[in-house]
Amino acid sequence: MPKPNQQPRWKQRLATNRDARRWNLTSLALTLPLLLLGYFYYGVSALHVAVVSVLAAVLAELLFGRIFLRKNTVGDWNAVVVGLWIACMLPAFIAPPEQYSMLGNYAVWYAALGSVFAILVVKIPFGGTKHMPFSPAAAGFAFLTACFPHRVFTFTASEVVAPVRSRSMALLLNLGENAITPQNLPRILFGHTSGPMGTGVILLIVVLLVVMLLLKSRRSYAMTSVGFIVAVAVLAFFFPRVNPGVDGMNMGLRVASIGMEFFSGSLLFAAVFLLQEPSTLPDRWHTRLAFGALAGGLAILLRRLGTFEENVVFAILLANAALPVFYRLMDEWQQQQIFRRKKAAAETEAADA
Amino acid sequence: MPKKTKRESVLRGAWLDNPMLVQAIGLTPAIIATTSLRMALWFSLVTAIHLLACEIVASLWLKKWQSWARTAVYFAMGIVLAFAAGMLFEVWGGFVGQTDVVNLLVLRAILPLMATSSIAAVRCERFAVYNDLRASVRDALVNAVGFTGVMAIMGLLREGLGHGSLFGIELTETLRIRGFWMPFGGFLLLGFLAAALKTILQWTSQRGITKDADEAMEFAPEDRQQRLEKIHHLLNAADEYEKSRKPEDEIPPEPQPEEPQPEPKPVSAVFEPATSNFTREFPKLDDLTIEQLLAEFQGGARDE
Repeated sequence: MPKPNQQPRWKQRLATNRDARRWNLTSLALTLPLLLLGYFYYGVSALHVAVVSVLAAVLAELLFGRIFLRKNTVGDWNAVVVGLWIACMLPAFIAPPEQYSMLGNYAVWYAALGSVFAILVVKIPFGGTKHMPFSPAAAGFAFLTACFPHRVFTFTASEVVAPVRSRSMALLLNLGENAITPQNLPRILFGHTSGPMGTGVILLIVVLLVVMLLLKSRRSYAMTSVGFIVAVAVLAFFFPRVNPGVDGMNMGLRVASIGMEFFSGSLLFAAVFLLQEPSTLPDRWHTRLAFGALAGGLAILLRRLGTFEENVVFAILLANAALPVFYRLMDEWQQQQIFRRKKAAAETEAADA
Repeated sequence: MPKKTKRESVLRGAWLDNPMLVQAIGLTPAIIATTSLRMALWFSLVTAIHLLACEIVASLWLKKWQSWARTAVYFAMGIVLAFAAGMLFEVWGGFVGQTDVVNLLVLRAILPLMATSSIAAVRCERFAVYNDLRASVRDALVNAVGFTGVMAIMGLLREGLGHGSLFGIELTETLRIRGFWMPFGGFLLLGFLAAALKTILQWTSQRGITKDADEAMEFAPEDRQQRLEKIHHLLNAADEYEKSRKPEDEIPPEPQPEEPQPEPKPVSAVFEPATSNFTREFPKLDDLTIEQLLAEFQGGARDE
């Protein structure tokens, strides 16, 4: 078996600590613009949530990594990224008192709890950044969703611009309403909606995905997100959740349903960031495409059947759990290729003889 | 095989071979029952009585029965016990108040699951049918102690952290992490308890307090005996088959094209000992360790 550095680039994953550090620093650089926009929209409370979440993740990794793994794994920056991603999916403030204080903001405590859960339960027991079978940020947010569903989906309007509707886009979609109109569309794309603090700016997330596709080191990973987005778009087109109304379902409503799926909740953010966790992906770019499509199908299924306002993190965790099946399929495919090659060579030899 | 002392047996049943953390049996009803401490203790008590009764019956009367018939007896006893326990809990269970009524309903719903709980069936099939009454009773008691200990810890943590209460008495309203109260929280907690047990065993073995953890948690002596018997049975069957084979059963070899004969080798190079393991005599079972027997059996299979 060739060593990781001898493998082609598209087949490489995080082979060394240096690779892991580079990957996580790139992810951090790509996530920071979202946080800055969150700060612009929601003020200092967004920064409080992000800083506490990151600090909790780093401290948990320092402590539990030292106890369980007997080494310091903070240097790969993964804890920072996990903390930041969990913070991005939370509201900027939950039930704040009249006079805002950091400790009175429940979102800060929930972010810390989710980060500690992600590191303690999902990351450290499996051996750290290069070996974790599930996306820790997805698991951390899923834990918060299961434990405090009424709190983590209580969104407050932005201080800067009023949202399109008072309800969140995910709730509107669950009710079958369509919030997309030609007048609203630019405001929705720029994140003037009621929702999580770092996942609402659709346009920026799309730009970040394009950047990932242009970066040579991230391209094959970004194929997972492409597969996810295509699957969600196709399924949302054929199985729209927007109520048809009196005129019945037409092409416009189907397209609006696709838009509502992407613009609501943390779906696009999860597709672009959480799904691309290197240790949870198959090896080849086309298998990653299929893996992303599976996750997209599960996301649509869970959004239709799930009880929570946002279920995409559960879809990602389920897709992560299905990874061994992908490895099995890949192995069988490789064995078939080898067999065919040997058979062709034998037939050629026989014909020559 | 060196005989285990009583102390070692007790330690093994309750600690090294803990039915929940090491043998991983009876998990699902246990996960449902540990949402409150009171429910966990009641469920442990009923399971202990079920286990004790099954092991006594299996040790005294069921040794010559077929395995499937014995399992049916365990299930039938479980059903009777679950029905009786459900009736008793309603009267004497101490379930008062709204939360307790819900707990009682849940307990009555999961008690029939206990009838099909694998803990009694597994312990009886692995231990009681091969041992006398005294050893079976001891095995039932130590396993019940191990089971109850884990159930109590889980009930305490899940009720305390998930519901903010203890024995139905509310302690706090703010610290309620619903995840601990849900089944996934129970399984996570169980996994961490199992990991903690393994860590403690490793820590103690490194300091010479107990034996090597991996060796200690390998498998129980009764499993060893059972495996030995199975392997012996397989080897005997293969031996019988080898003896009963007729010459006409063998597939005639395909005619090979004649090849030029190589030069004759010296006699010492031509001689090879017989390779079939099925034609020679076996040493007595008790003289062999399971590793030796397995090695011989696998070597024989490779030769074949």
